[in-house]
Amino acid sequence: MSARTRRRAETQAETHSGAGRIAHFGWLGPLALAFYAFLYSPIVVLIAYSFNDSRFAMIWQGFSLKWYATVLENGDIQTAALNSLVVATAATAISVSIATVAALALARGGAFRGKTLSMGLIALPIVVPEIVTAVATLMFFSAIGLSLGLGNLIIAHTVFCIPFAFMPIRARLQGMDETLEQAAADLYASRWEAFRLVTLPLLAPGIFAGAVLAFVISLDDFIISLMISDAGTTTLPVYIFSMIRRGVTPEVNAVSTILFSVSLVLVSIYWLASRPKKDEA
Amino acid sequence: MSESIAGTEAIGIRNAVKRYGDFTALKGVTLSIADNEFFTLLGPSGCGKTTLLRMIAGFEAVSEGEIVLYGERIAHLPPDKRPVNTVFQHYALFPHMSVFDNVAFGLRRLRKPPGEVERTVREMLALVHLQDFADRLPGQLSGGQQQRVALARALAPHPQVLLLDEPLSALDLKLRQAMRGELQRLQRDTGITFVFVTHDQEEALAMSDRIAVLRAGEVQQVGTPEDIYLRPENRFVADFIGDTNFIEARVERVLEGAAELIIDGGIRVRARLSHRVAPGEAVTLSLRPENIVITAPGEGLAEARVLAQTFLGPNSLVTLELPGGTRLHWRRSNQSGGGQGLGPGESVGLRFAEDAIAVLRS
Ligand SMILES: Nc1ncnc2c1ncn2[C@@H]1O[C@H](COP(=O)(O)OP(=O)(O)O)[C@@H](O)[C@H]1O
Ligand SMILES: [Mg+2]
Repeated sequence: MSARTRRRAETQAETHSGAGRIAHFGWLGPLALAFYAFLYSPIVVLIAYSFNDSRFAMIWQGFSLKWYATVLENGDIQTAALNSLVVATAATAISVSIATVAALALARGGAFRGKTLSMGLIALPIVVPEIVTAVATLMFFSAIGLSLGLGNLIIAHTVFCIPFAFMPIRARLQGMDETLEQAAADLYASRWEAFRLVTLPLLAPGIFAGAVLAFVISLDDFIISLMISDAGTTTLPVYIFSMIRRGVTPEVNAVSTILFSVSLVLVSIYWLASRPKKDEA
Repeated sequence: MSESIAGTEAIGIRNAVKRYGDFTALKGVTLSIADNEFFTLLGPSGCGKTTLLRMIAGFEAVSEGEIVLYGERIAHLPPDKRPVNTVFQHYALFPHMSVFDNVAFGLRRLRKPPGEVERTVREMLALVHLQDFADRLPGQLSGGQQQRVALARALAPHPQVLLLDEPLSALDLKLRQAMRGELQRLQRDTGITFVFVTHDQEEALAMSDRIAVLRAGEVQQVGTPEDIYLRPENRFVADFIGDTNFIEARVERVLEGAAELIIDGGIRVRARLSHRVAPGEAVTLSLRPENIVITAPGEGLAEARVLAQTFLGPNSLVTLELPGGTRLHWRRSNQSGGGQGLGPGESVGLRFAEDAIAVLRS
């Protein structure tokens, strides 16, 4: 570790010795700072006012946790949060399973016609405007008369979660040496044993990262949920939106802060899980 | 190519062809590898060595031909049903399993009882001097240690045949040389037939019972290291293994297993013959540089003039020119007390060691 730290220090010293270059790009620093300020100050303000001991969102009166207590006692918020969790969990489980099978088929299934097309189709939901997907899904569900309550939401979420679950799994699989599976077969492992004992454990960090990403995406989704949900199946983001329409109180700040914290934790976990480990090269 | 081998046949490859689309990687390979043999597939990169090995292991299907393992056809069996294990070029150790679990993997798949697994794994780790590393992960081992884990893992199920794909190529020179002896010892101790792939002719000569030289998907020659080095049958084999002089010659007289030939416009030499030639035919001869014997001027078979000399450490390579213009490399020992060097322009006599010249197939 100390060796690595030292090496990093040396690299930095080298970089800094190229003073001419740094000076040339001197305006980059303030620019970056302004960018971060623009990006994060609204969130900081939102979080700060969630601790405000006042009924009005924008007048600071002192520190208090009372709005968090209000949130926790609010039955509608509890229901919405539970809906969000149920939908996110189910959509994650289903989309990760589908993404894993798809990634394996594409990476190990040999060449087949339309392989590139299949890859593109899996990634498509990322680039299609969400409102288009939302409207299309809504029209599709009503056309076939599907009304499964939360089931509708789960199906819609699964579809847009698949590409996000797929990407880290596929990346992990591409970095994985195919000869490992051949070595397993060479050592008398059946196909299933080779998958269970070699492929799956090595793929696990990718699957985990994909699951976390899918979960966050589902949890934070607003547009599609707004279209698909009805009175009984409101998710948390949709509920927050309806609260704002009734007037902004620090309660909105508090529930938003909670949602933000959960996402932040999950994204951090995702980032840690998808970081390549040194001893697995 | 027909040859007789001693003992039972471990692997028979009969007319094996491998095509990748329009490209033919193996063009009808026939080989017979004996039980308990250290057999080497030697050839330049891309000649099809790995392809052949992967066909024996079951990772590639044969396009045509047969593979026989101890008398049984195996071409239709998947890899996990063949009593054959592989040491992969980059080892392919399971990174998430300890050294112990790596070595135990094959035994566990064969449903050996835990006691036997434990005992065999310990035995194998001792065999490759890694008994203290059982709990390490592969990532915590040096290249040489990983290599030995790969060996132990492949040997543990006691396969009928062990396939090794350039297992030493990733090691540094000293370790590579040490591992040569180690591999030979393992082969003798276990009695398992080894099929060893390399592009390093020195490695092949040092370790093998027999060598098959491959070129562009075709077998060029099969024989003991002595056969291959001392009696190369064609120009490719003579050139690929060691250094040699190619000499243009005309057949004068055909004797039993030998021929008298004329080189350099008049010098009469005798050469070994492994195929038919006719008097008057133009042929190419191979003569190893160490098989030239230098005499005092006028006392040899022919006179030669020294053109240049390159110092190589244990020996020097001296370029000689015969009266007719033919140039020959002579490998001269630099042993202490071996007399003084030869200067350019100096005249010497020379003759050739007995049996040193081979007539090559065209
Ligand atoms: N899967 C494949 N598809 C197409 N060509 C291949 C494939 N595998 C090997 N080859 C070709 O077959 C030839 C022999 O390859 P290989 O057996 O790996 O050679 P070696 O191990 O002797 O270096 C090479 O020209 C290689 O490009
Ligand atoms: Mg190879």
